[in-house]
Amino acid sequence: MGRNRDASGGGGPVGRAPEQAHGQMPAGGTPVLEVDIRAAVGSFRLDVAFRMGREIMAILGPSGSGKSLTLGHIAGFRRCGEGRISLSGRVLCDPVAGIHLKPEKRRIGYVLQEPCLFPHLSVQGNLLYGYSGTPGSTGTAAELWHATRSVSDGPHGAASAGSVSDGCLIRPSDLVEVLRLGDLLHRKPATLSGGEKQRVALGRALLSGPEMLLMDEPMSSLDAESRWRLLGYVRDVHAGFGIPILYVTHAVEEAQFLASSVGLLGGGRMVEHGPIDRFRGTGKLFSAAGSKPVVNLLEATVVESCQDKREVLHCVQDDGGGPGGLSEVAVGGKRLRIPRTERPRGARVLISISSTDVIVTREHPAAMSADNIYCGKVRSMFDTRRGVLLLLGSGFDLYVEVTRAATEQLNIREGDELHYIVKADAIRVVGE
Amino acid sequence: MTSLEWFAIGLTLRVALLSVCLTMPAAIAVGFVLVRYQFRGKALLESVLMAPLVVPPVVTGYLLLLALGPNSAPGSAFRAVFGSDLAFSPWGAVVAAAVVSFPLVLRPVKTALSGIDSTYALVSRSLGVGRVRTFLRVTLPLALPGVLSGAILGFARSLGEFGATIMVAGNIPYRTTTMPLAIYSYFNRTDGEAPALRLVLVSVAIAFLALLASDALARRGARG
Repeated sequence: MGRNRDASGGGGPVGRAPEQAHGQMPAGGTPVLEVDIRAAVGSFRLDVAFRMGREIMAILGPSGSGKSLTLGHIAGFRRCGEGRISLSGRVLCDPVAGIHLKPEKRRIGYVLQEPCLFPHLSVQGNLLYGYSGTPGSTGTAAELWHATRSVSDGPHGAASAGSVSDGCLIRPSDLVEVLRLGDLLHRKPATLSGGEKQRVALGRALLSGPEMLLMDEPMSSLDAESRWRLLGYVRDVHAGFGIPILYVTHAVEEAQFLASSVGLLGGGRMVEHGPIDRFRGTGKLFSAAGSKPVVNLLEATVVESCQDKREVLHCVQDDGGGPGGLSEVAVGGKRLRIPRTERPRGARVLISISSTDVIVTREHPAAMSADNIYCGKVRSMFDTRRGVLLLLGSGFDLYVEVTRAATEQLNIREGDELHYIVKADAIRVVGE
Repeated sequence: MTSLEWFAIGLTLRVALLSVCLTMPAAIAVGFVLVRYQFRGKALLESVLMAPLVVPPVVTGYLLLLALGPNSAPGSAFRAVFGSDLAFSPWGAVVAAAVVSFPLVLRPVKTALSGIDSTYALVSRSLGVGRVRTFLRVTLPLALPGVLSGAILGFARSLGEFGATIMVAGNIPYRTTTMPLAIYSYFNRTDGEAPALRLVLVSVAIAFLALLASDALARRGARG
């Protein structure tokens, strides 16, 4: 609207405030995707500009902020009124130049909230659906089957043979290996669990030879356990195949787990975007997030596991520990007791603690049945839709949600030392 | 059975099959447009397409005769291409059956197509498959039970077509006597009771088989 823009383009988003469009280089190096769109859908106005490189970029925002709309424009299912979208130098959309590439010509994989597997095809049929149309594929089942026989080949090494940018494709056998789809190939989508379906949908999108992947809240219909597992797969896929991923979510922990850059969307505008480190310790991510509680995701090392049998203090039964036994992990110099895990000593695990499962006190709770009682410093605190979120520094970052009334009662201020309590049962090992 | 009875059975089956061949592609195309697109006059178009269901077949036949008769533009075009008139020919019977059965074919096809989440098509296109191939590889296979049940309904309705057929094709022995027309002719003859009854039984048998098949398909479709 009245913006001064250069139709010949070339330099990406033009006519933008420099700090918005040019000031922030994508964390993944040279920009792969450059987006600058303005569109009106009913009374809603979308006005979004950003760039991303080969990284995973998360777009965070509450419902109705225009997240899915943005992806719809990039994928080509919506026409933008003004602006320009380009991917690896190819212009996908430029209304002034009369360019609007059809979705099937954009080479952008799109994973939706619902897996939308084709119900009349087997898993194999779904995986090969887009693949059989890509150059260089024979589109035969043999390419998938190859994978189940040569499990010993490292997936990452093999995958690096084909880089995504030169139009070379991800080999089906590698993908089946990375996503562990071998056992599912002959099943029908109706017989799969939610997590399995979404894994197949992810594989199907990757096999269509995309230059990048759009994911629109792919975890929102999954239970917590499959969600963390799938997040791991998304990270593996990015690490293994080097494909840029634009990941839309309203769950901050998903963004923190996956993304190296973040864009905050609100009211149809990109409020701020940049490397995720810039947002750590600030309340910005949480103000853009949804209304679900924040979950802490922590990298931990198993210190004592139930595999160690008798030596382990916390395994109650001496024959390897029955249910109710505890294991111990180390996180940032602290030891946390967690429910019994089968992972061996020294294994790196990811644990999740919901911010609502942590209790804070002023005094040290002397007589207390909880397993994990430690001390932490309030590094920052911010209001969210749900209450107040405290960021406790305790060798690691721990988000704790408290009510506004509680912050007043305890008179919590930034810099205060607080004791925090986490029941072992409230900690989960992710993807186990 | 007399040779005219055999002729009537053979002609009826051929007319019904050809009628389905005409209505199926049309019903799929029209059903798809009605389900996926919004446009002005959509409600009017739907009523016109559904009209043969409520308009007396004789009236439909009369209107068809006006539209396709030797003096009309389509009629003379048909004559120029095929060398014979459309009216009072077996092809007239096919057109009459197709027009009258079209609403019955369209309805299940449209229902089946509208039951398919358009997201499948969207996903398919994001996987690099164009519109037409997406329709052939995803939408149509998913709608198949409804499409087949529409085909069977159309086939059964075409078998029994009488009013429009007698108007457009006439009742010319060994040329346009379909089973219903033959039954009517035999019934009007003093010695025609036995052949009429035989053709009635054959009609009932074919119609029942078609309905059973349609039912089986509908149940398969419901199971997914």
